[in-house]
Amino acid sequence: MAADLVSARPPAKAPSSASRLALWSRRARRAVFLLLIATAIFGPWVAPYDPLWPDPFNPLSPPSAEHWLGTDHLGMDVFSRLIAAARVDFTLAVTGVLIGGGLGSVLGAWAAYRRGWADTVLLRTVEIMQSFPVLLLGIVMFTILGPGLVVLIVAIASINFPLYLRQVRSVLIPLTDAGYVQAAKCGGLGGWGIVWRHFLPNARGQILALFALTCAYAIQIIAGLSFIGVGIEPPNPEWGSMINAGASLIMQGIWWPSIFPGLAIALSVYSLTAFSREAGSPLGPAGSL
Amino acid sequence: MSGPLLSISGLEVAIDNRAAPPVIPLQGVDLEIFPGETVGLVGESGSGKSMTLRSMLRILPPGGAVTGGDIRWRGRSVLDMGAEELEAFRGAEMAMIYQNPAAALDPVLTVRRQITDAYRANRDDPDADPRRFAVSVLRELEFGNPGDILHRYPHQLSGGMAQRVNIALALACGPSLLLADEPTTGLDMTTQLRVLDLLEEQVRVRNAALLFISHDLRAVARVARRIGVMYAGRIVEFGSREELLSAPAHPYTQALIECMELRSGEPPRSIPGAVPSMAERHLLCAFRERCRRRMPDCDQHPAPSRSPGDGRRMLCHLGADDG
Repeated sequence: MAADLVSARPPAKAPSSASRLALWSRRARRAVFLLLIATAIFGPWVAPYDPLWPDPFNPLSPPSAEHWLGTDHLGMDVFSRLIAAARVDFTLAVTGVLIGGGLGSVLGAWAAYRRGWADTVLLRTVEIMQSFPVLLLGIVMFTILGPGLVVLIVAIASINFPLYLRQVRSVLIPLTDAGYVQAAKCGGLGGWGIVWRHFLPNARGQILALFALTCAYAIQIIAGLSFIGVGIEPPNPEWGSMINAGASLIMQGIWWPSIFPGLAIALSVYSLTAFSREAGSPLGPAGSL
Repeated sequence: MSGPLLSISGLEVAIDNRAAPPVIPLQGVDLEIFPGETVGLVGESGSGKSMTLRSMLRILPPGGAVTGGDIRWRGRSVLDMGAEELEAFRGAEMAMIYQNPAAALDPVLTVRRQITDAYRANRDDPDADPRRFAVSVLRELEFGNPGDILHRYPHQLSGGMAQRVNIALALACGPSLLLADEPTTGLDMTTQLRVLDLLEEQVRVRNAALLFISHDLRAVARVARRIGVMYAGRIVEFGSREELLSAPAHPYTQALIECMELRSGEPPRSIPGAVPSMAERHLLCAFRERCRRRMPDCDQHPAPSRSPGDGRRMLCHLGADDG
């Protein structure tokens, strides 16, 4: 009898080649993601050259054993600059998203709890904020605040604030009728107590998924703004401004100063969006919390 | 304290749903609850039991408002309380146990977090130890392994366990009056009895009062010493458990008790007819259409309130002449 039961179990299948491919591509994505984070954190200790040290005798030299990714028009090492820029871009993106996203999430949860006129006012405000094109917003802030990192952080924060507010609000609206919210109210918990202890924890998974996605988006925006000269001034290392510096040379066959930072942006955005997708799936980090 | 904890007098509630004429789920409800006593309200769905509880905590559904009467807590009107007063009042004075235990627990928080939150929100004492309280209250509610339960999420609890956790949540608030809104409806019979006994014991040990409502007269009679029978938004009869069960005076109470009795070989009975709509104010007795003892007076005059005995009240023409 027992033997029958054991044999009735379906035999363990060898993983199909498709699922093995999916597994390896997931591992590859994670490896790239971790590599990028590690680069941003430990980069400066690994970089072979000072990212701001120009070699006037070696401008625009192609990739070689000495300069792995070549040098730019000032003779600065592209690889070292790429690494230094990773830290700048990631820090700006994460800081801006944390500020805008944090504020947006809390107010979004509050709006979902409160409803009424406060909710309406907040929604109309973010709709107005979102109606400005991103580049215009960046340029306006640049003219108000002048050059510097603060412009980029403020721009990223104000782009993310509406995204988080709307997403968190819409996810949490059904909670207003939830029994446990009513129960918490009857248990003597005030409005902010309910928002803090019940509303925000219920949006944790969505906030995490959105965080990775918006960081990717933020990196693109920072690079885009720097490309048009808003934010980080050359020769400070930043992916967008590096692309800009090398852009006019591509037609002359000098591709390395701008192609590599472009690849770095693409890779970061891809691995972050992939992470976001996994975080949002039921088997990702959000589901296992 | 000698006075009542809670006294409701002439309570009327209307719900304005804009499109249709307002619904009047409660009219002329009187109720007094004294410290440490257990009171039950029984009635069919839609009779106004839950609405009574909701108006006590000021959590009426959208459009709902108290349109008449008063609710007093230790002499102070609940209806006059501001937002901050209400926040302090809810939970600490009056806490509620819900009909659907699964819905009343936050799915993303552990049992421990929910109990300790409720405990902290209602106590100013800096020496209070929420975790120790959580363990002891779960043990008192007959959880064999409180440490394990504390780390669970609501979906990892069975229905009976979830309802006991809900009781723990309400007790964590440390209320003087516990409101129980059909707390055993979703549970099977044996679990029901166990939860009821635990509830009654906890209320007694903590010297709190209990207002228990259910459509199930058996459940109400098991925990409550005084029972009110509700029909179409009014309390039609009120009295001690013994009197009410042994000598029901109102025809509706009599019919309810008959429905409860299972005679061998006979299918369970029901009361013919349905509860009338709450869309209008019932001046005449709302039960008269279904009443076996209907008389001409029923169709002409509102049912008078009488006291057929000590602490007993009923709304009926029956025996009005000799009573």
